Amino acid sequence: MSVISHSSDLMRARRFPEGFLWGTGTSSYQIEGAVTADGRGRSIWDVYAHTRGNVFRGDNGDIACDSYNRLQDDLRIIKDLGVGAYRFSVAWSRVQPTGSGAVNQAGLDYYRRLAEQLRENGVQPVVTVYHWDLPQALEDQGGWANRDTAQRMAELALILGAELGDQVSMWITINEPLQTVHQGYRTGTHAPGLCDDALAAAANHHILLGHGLVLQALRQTTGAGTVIGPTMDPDPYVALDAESEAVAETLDAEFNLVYLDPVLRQRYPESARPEMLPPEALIRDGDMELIGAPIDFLGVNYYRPHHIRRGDWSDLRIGEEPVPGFPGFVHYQAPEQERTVMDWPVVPASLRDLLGRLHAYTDGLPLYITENGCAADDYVSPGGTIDDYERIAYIHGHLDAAADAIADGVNLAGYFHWSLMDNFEWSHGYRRRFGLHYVEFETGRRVPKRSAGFYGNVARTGTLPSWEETFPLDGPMPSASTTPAAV
Amino acid sequence: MSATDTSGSAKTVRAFPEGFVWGAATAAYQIEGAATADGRGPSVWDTFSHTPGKVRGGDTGDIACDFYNRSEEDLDLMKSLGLAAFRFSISWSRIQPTGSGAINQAGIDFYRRLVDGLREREIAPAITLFHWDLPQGLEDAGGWANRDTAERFADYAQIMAEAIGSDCDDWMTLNEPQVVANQGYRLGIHAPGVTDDAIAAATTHHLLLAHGLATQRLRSALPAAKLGLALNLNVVKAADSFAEAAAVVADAEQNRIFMDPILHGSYPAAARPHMLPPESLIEDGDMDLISTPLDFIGINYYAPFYLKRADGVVSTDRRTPTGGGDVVPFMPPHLPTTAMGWLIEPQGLYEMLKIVTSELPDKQSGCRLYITENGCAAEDYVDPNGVVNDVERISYLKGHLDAIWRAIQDGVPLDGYFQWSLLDNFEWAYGYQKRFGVVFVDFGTQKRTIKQSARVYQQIATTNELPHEWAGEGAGLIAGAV
Repeated sequence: MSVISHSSDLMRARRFPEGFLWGTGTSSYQIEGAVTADGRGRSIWDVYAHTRGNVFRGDNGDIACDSYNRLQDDLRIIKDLGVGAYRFSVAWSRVQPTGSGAVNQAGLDYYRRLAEQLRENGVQPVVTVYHWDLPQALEDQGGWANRDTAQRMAELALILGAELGDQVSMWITINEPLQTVHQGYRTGTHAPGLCDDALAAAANHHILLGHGLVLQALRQTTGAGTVIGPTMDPDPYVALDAESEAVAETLDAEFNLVYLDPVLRQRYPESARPEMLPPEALIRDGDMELIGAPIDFLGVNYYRPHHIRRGDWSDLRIGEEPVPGFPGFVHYQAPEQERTVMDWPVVPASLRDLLGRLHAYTDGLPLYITENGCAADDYVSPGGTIDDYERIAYIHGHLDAAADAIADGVNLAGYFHWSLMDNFEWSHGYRRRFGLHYVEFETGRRVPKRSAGFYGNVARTGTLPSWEETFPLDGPMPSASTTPAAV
Repeated sequence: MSATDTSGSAKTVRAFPEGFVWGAATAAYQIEGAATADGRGPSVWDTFSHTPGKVRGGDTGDIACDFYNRSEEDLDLMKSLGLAAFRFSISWSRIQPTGSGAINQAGIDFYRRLVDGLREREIAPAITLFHWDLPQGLEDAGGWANRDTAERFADYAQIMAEAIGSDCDDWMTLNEPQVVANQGYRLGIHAPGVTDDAIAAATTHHLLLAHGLATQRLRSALPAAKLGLALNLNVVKAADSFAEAAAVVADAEQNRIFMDPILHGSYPAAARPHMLPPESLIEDGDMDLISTPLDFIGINYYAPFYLKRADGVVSTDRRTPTGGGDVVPFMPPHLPTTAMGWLIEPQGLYEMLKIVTSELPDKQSGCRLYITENGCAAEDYVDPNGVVNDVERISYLKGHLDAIWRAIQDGVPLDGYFQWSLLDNFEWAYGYQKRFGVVFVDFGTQKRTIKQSARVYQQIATTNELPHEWAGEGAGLIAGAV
């Protein structure tokens, strides 16, 4: 039996509001492949993945799910799934191979076809303008540490707005700026692989400026009724003892508010340490107003919380890891805590808390969960099925928490499961499968997992079945008793 | 690490003794499938895996790798990989569908064909008679808690000795009896799913008795055969002085509870009383039978087992005996782990080989050692280019082959190494989720894809030496394998 916590009783089904948007998502570099087709230029992820030691087993996105060549396959599984919306991102270097200048029409046409055919199939296209695959030519000029990159992204948005504006009525400016800044420029675990606090702080400001400029550009080029917002990934930081509360607050400021406050308060948070903030010199007059211009919704990617407590770095307990920069404090995961194969704790109740907090923080702005999901050790069984009960349990727990948040009064307007299909999971390569569909990467074949049937049914009916109906006592459970002792 | 200097130049040749056996291992229920074909009876694992909640995802071995129907192509695969030996187990309930009585000839014929097919390809068969799939008919009569099961096992051993005869040189009676007693009868997480200390203790003695009785029969029927068994031996280490006493107890309960009766004819005094068979079950002559001389001890080694003072941390891992007290299993942060969460420490294999060698008694003079299982689960996948680039497994292999090479230099009488496993297969309570193979199996289509590790292993098996490019990097794992 899974230990996933449920706030409601096991017998209760949950009905979502009319018009609640059910979707699923992907991003360009993770699925498209075809990296040199039809004039596409190189992105920082092409360069990063092809640099030895950066990605698990040396994987790269050269082929990925081959979605560029399999648009019809993708449309079919999206349609069969039964969702109302599909979130995808644009590979900037397909549209502008060097990140600026002339449009590469062939690249643009791919997204035009995708958007049109989604609509023909009754699925609303949701476009993310920037999901991490910066054209390498722009990185060569400083990337996000260079203010000009934000201006270049605004040009991209003008192109996309003009070309796709009649097809797309929901836009996401940027995806998870935290990861670009932190992993891309501070820890080096994502492209472009830099480890420089000053560059990271500059990237922080410029990617938010990019958001503001993209928002402006899309406002100019798209019609009334178009909704535009950013997607953030504010992981909750939870203090497990009173002494850790200040540390959790600081981490919340440095990982979350440093992106949220500029967009929603037109300022950087005072509670972050100075070295984690962009220097005043980079912040020009008008920047904060641009960054903080009104948005139509906030996209929220939620996967996991972080738990902080006091701990002795020289004598760590089981489940403890140091909090970098905060001697005497540790991240803690209890040994009995249910986790995904990413080693992320599964805590649906934390999603409810987060949504409640963001509802208050945004003063009731519509919220969309633009990503939520889990990697699991999926495999095709001898019967040909992919019985991903762990993913079904994860979805069930988190939708139950989302229903709780709605019952609390949160203005939650939709949920996009991450991801439509297994794909190139960044530095984890192809080993970490997040999909509702299993991808046999050698052949490109997509196979719906058991979770696709489960989630599709929720999306079609707007109803989450009870836990008991989902996992009858006489049927398979999300996890079985297992032993680490021997083979 | 060891005092042995391994940091030679790139030209250092690290060869194995002539005739060293390079093999791969499997077990019947994990690969065969065809669970009802040709008169096979149900085993405890059929019953257990078909019980909801026992195996991840409700997986069963009904199909597995379909080896029963695909053995010819898999034999060709083994040949192409340069294997000198193949360790497999016999499904008892194919031979005797209820575990006793009449022989099911179709079952005999399958293993006869398999042995013939191996010999035609110059691959030496190595037979395990019992790898956990007890006929359900015997479990219904008390299973290993019933002394009579040991007698039935001896009869079955006799049948197989007569059926296969001198076409197989290496015979193992039991595989990992400690896991059967502990996981199967004490913790209930393996078939038959019993949770009873007294039954587990009885099981311990009857498994050993079965080994003794079967060895006697095999010796009589096949005087030229080499006889042994496969023990799972985890080197137990105390991470602090507080845990040292508990480590002695854990070593007794995990390792010596089977190793001591086999080698010395006695149960380890350090084990807690409830772990040991009561005197009333031990009949005159039992211990002599159990400690009958063997030709080899097979060692299955995967991971070390560390213990440390709990310090207020309550362990949730009650599945592994710790020897009691305020001591918990411990994962030293500096050691990497496999996809099973098992620690990777090749030096533990070296140490275990030295321990077993040092304890071989005079009675067992001439007894040799095999590594009958060693390997790791990894998060394997066929990448977009059709390649399974399992660098973590290659790294694991490198570390452990380096350890056994050093052990041989230091006097360990080691005659062979069996990689676990040839194929991804039904990994017991984990179902098909954990992949141990050097060959990837797409279970939906049964397509086999040779992993990169199999290519490395093929080179080693063919040349009988470690790759030159592994020299000069020390004894460690491959850096950057992630």
